[in-house]
Amino acid sequence: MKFTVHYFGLIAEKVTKKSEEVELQLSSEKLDLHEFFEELYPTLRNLNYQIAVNQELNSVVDASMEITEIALLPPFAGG
Amino acid sequence: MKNCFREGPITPESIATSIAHHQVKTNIGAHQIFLGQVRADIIDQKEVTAIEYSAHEEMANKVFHEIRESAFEKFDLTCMHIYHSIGLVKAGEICLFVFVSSKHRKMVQEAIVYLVEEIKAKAPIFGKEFFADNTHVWKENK
Repeated sequence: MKFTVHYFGLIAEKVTKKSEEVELQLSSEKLDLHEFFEELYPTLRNLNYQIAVNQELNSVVDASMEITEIALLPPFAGG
Repeated sequence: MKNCFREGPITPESIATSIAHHQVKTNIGAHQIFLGQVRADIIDQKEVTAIEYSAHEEMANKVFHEIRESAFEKFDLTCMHIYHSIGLVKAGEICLFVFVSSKHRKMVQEAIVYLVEEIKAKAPIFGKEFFADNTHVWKENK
């Protein structure tokens, strides 16, 4: 199944895009999205970032979840 | 969901206007304001001239809403405003405006510390620090 993934800040710079549709095979087994994206983009391996699924911080997903959006968020710098 | 983002710097005039709007709320006895200003940091002997802010705006507005709700629960506040810049803000300009009001000083003093720390830790906002030669680094909250 395809999901919309948004990349921000340093992460967008590293993967050279702001968003894309990504094919994810979800099953009843937990999938670690950090591992998934680091395989897709090895350049992410040494970076510090968080993942949000449906705008909530979370990086472990499975087929029971209704996913509308995934976002890769580099360290926050607000304020 | 309220949009807490403002394009470019937050102007001193808009802050003054916001203060003036509260003069009709005569149950307020204390305001506390926090202003975040872009600092001309020296990084590897180069001076930061501006920060370009970007954000997961929808998520950040949700986070601001949750922070607001939790602050209203924790502290006896009359009102609260949060504005954050998006886009380019030059060194010396204001990028964050947090404004809380209450009957008495103690509540707003505690609330402002809580709010600013929560915003810095939880809002998905990113800062690209530009130098005069147009190179950049990415800012990270400590």
